[in-house]
Amino acid sequence: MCGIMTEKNRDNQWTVEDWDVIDYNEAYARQKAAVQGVLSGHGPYLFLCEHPPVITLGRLAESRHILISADALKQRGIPVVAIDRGGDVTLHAPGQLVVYPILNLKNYRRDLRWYLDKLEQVAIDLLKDFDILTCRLPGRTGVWVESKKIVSIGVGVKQWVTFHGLAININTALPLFNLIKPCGLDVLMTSVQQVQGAAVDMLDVKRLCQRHCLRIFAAGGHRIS
Amino acid sequence: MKIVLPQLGEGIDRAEVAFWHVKVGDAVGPHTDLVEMVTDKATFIIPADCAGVVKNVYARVGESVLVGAPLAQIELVE
Repeated sequence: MCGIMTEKNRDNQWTVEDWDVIDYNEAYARQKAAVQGVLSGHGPYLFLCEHPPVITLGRLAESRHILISADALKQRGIPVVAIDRGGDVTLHAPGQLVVYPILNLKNYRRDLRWYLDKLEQVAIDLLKDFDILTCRLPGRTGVWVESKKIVSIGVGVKQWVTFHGLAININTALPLFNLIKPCGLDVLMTSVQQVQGAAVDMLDVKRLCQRHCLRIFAAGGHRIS
Repeated sequence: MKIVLPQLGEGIDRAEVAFWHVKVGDAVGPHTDLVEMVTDKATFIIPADCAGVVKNVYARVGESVLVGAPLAQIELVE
């Protein structure tokens, strides 16, 4: 893990970790360990990372939404991982900020729609810092720049403790999304880099993301003692 | 003991069965994951909440279940 971001927020006992670029399965194992920690009374965690290229399938994903053959994916070294989150097919790759909040919704609201809404708000506020005006589309969870999708969301909840989370395209190589039908939809993806016309510093993005995440989830919750 | 689909939030009146972690005849404990339900972009894992044996499951993967409707029956072990 990268030491720069690792800290404990004393106000509400958040543990924040930057995992830099981490294998998807390793990140998943760490999340599940953190879920057990929170279930045992540990305060919330915020994990920030990027993944090497990987395609993930949510529980009800349709494999036909992967648009190239298994052999071609193998040749490109892109694994496909079936995973216990909501949503359809998605893709992670370097340049995409992946945000995994592990928190107990019993300390906020036992409401999945509320939680998804707050995750969207974290991304909306973050992107506003880069002067990117985003919107929500009714019935289509995620964050959009006009008709292009910039943020994908898929979460898991175990005994009201959250895992999985947000994928925000910062400097992502967008042609990779041609390999899939993102979320099973006919949509184009975009990124901060595409909208701004230049790449942005991922560490700056992580710092801002941490700030918004802790602010938004501090407002709706209370201290876990 | 009947395990029902709990309230998942405002405006959510149903969820779809995504994955069964157990089958009829399996022994379970209070923290055993029984079933994953999915709504919108969230999966919600429902635990057994008791110790016993799974006697029945009431919905298959892909079926939609209303909040409050039974998902499984567990015969309690003393």
